[in-house]
Amino acid sequence: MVKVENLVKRYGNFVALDHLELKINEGEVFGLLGPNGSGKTTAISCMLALLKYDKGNIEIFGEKIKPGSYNIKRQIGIVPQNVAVFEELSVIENIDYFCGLYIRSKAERKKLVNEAIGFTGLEKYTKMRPKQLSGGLLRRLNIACGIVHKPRLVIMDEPTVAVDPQSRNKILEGIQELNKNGSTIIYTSHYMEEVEQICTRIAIIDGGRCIANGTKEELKSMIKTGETITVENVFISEKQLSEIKEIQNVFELQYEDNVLVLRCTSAKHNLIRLMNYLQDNDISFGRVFSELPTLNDVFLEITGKKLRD
Amino acid sequence: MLHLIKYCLLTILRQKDTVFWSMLFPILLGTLFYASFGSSNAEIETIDVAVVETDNSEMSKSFISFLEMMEKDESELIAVQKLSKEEANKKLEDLDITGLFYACEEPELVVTGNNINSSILKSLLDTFTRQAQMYKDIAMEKPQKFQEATQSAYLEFASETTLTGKKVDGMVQYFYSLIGMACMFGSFIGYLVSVQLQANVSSVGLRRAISATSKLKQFIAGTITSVFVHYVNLAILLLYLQYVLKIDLSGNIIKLIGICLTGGFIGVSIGMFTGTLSKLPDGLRIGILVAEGLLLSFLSGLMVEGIKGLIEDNFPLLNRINPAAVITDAIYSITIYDDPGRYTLNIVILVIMSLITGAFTFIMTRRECYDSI
Repeated sequence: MVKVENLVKRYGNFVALDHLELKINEGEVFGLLGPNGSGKTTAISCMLALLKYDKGNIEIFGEKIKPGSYNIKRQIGIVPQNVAVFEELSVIENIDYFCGLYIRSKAERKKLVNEAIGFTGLEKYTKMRPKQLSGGLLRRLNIACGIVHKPRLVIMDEPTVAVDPQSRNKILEGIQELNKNGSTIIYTSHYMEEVEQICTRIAIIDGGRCIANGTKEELKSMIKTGETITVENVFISEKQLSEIKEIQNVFELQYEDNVLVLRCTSAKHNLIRLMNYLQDNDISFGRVFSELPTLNDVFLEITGKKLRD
Repeated sequence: MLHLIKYCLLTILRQKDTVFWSMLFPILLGTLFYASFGSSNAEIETIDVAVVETDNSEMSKSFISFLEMMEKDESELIAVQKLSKEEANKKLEDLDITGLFYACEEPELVVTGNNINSSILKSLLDTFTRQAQMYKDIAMEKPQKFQEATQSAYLEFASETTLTGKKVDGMVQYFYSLIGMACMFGSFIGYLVSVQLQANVSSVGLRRAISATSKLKQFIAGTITSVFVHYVNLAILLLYLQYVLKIDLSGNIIKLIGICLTGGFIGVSIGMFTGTLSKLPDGLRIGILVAEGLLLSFLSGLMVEGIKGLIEDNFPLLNRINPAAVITDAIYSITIYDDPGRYTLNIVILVIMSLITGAFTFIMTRRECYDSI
């Protein structure tokens, strides 16, 4: 559905996109994950033919997108990072206005506007102006304006920035529902847990390059960390630390403020081996917990290597 | 298109700042002018003043001549009595006269209170002092121009009358300049529309730029709506001046509308163009907007009577390229000079300005693809 090949975008000497390659299939919730300034928004702006680029090729629905590709644009919905609505118009007027940029029929527009209001749960706020809405409701209005015309492809650029957890969950649920209804989603974020929760495939971007790409399972399998064990309120000597590091499958150890963090490769009984050591050496400890790798681990491990390079 | 126009209209009308500057401010200023100067048609009572000659200097004689000239003027603004200091003071105490002028090297004024008559007398003294200083400067720096200057000064003091017999009423001139200013203040509407159109200036502009509706269509809808709203504003102002404040905007109303149509368009385009200066902060762009409106209006004579004439004498090109001055002059040409040629010339200038500013604005706002956002 979306093909980005060898995309290069420079701002003077600064390379914002460095030979970026992406392929997004129909029906996916595709996550673009990267820290602030990694090139996510630039990539999206290029995909929408809003930003000129120096090199590369972008195809959407099998056609090269240009500023005048209105037939392609008609099938795309955008939820920009900053809330993009008219302060002077009410909720319903804003949604109707943006719907009108895609749909001419007044009757069809009315139906779509009502559906978008229902979908985003803004029924009680239709007459309110954006200024009167809370941050979460404002974000929902921003989404409603982007999806009202039922686009095939929805691009969401960090739609949950500065949103409370409750509203964030509602937004994420909405995105999954949109996808179930047939829309392909491109979702950019620097919140790893969000991307992990909703995306079927993820590309990790850093320094304008795609440094990893795949399903979350594929990404997690790319890194060494299989399990992270944390032990709190533990008092360990230097000698004991050296011995712990020698336990089977442990490849990294951190001990700070009486908290021990072990990174182990994926294997059975990592936690039991550590417990046995602590018991055999009569070491007291507080809370203990074991975590499977997250995208956060994937990102830190991948970009960490790059940074060290 | 109607959909775009409808919402553009709502956006403009609900933007309080825009409505204030483009519609309410000119009406408010017009009302203040009216309250300060009174209607141009209002009868002003002759003001009784005394003059006391305290020395025999040239300045003293000039000042007395000036007062006598004003007394003889058909406006009958003042009635002058030449008195001794004691007599004059007594009459002032008894409120038989409103003011007492001392004719000396540096003429002075004593008034009985702070009212409109006192203001008029102060204004007379200020005018004389300013002109006297100008004579001195010319005599010292350009003696060869002295005779020419005194002649033009005479024309200024004498009530200017055209061949048509219509008088140039200084007070009405303020209202003509006000119309010029109101045309320029359409820039606030143009600015709002322009900012909301551009992806590199506003987030709304960004969302619109990547929609399925072409930028050209959105630009046309925005321009039509903003110009329409501004014309309505100007129509309200003209009706308010003519029928509420009873300012005589006589002359051909069709021609006056022609001036407002072209002048209003320039105002809107200037605002749209200012809105495209994307590299400047928002506050600075609004500052530029206010400053350009006020500066152009100032140069057309809105704040200081006679400034337009001064520019005409010294730098006439400025009056040709200042849209507010051209608008004011076009109004003069139908209300005072009754000069169709001058009116046509002004309208042609305004049309050319409209085309230039409109073209510039279109070039700046038509972009759909940017180098940076």
